[in-house]
Amino acid sequence: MTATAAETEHSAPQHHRHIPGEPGLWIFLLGDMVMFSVFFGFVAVLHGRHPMMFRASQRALHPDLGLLNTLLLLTASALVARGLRQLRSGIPARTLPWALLCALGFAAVKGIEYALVIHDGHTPSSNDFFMYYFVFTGIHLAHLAIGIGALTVLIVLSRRPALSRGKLLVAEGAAAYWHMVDLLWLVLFPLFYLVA
Amino acid sequence: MWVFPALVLATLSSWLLGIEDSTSTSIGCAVVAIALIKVRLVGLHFMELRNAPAALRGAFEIYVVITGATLLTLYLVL
Amino acid sequence: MSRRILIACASFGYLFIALFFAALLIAHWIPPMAPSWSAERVAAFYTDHANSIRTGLVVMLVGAVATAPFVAALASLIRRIDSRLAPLAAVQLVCGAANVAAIFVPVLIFTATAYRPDRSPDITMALNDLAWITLVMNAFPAIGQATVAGVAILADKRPTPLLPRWSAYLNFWMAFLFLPSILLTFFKTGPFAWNGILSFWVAAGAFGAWFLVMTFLMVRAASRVEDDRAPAVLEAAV
Repeated sequence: MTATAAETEHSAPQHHRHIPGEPGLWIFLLGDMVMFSVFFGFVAVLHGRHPMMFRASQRALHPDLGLLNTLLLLTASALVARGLRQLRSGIPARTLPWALLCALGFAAVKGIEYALVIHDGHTPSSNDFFMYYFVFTGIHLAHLAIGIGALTVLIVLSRRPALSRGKLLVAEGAAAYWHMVDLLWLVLFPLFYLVA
Repeated sequence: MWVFPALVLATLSSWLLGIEDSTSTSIGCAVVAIALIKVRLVGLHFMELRNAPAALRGAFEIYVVITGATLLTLYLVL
Repeated sequence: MSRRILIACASFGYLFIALFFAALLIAHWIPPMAPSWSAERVAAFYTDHANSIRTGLVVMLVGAVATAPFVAALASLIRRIDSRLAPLAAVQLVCGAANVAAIFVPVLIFTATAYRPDRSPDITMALNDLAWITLVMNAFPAIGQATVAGVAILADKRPTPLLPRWSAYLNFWMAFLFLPSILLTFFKTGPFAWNGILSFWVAAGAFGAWFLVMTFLMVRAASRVEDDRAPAVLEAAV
């Protein structure tokens, strides 16, 4: 099967079947995602058991800030995906710092939302909704902090003239990690903010 | 590059569905289903898993299906 | 370094897991007591199961010592990867030693709790809290150990690494799974309480799985290591 021109834009050019990053990294990524699925399950169970409390507590969140954060992460992810393709074909990936800016923006917005929610008198010990909200989004924020490190690695690598096979694997791994941060938020956001 | 606009569109539509002050189960399930479709798009296109060997891509697809099925079941049953 | 000693030390990981989980079963700690129990219920539990708890604790005490050879074997293997990784081997050793204490100390507190179950229930409850919190919230040495072992495994740049690279990522994931137990300080019910799904079940499962996988990989790696019979050969190699 030969890749068409349209396909090569997205895919790794050298192989038809290619594992992004080191194979072993996927143990960590998929494992982390499974752990978050358990978190999602806890939120769903809480919603089912205490729908009134869930709904009332949910009103204290700021869905507009959540939406803004989702868009920031999606933009960062799109920039990283594009940057990685440019990196592979040796084109300077100039847009990667914007992805980093989006990531920092997410952290800032999350901080603002935490401050607003706490200012309104809601803390992790208020009820189970806020406990899950603060703990699970907090663990996600910790992942984002590591993701900022991954983006920095990606930017540093993009400044080099040509990447060796090993460095390219590092770049792919950093990008895959970043996409996982985005992917996990894509579920956390509707579960906490949208599902009534 | 239709993936990014599709993701933004999906985000906006689930946001519009979600901020409606409705407690209907079908809307909740639609929002969850949209979220899992977005997850699959990010995995296959941004993470480039659609070009990955069958085992890795399969593991990801199974993850999406099991997570989605579990969440929808929990929202429908509880 | 003798290959046989290295293999023997690494194999102690199996013994530890067998003793640790047997002890949990003997002492009736699976499922664990809940932090939401009343003082009377806690005291009654110790009265009803006094001797099985005491027996389980002795078994766990033996198990705690069984981690020492395992930790030493891992440190030796890290030094084998590259002698420049000696500081990482030392960090692993320190965290591993702290882990021995992290099992030893709560076991002794549990023993004191089970020593006089007929005392005032409030005192038994306070001791029981102290013991459970010490047993479950002691994740940081294990987190440090798994993280530094993962870093050392990734530092192995040879074509056939001593320990497979995927096991490094497994170590990082395990470190992440141990993490939620630090939240038990805030909760008496729910997934983060000391008997919760995330603090106890996932962390204990991950801890057991980590030991089994690492022991298997370490025994396999140790059997590939060459016996250094003559010290001169070792010096020449370094």
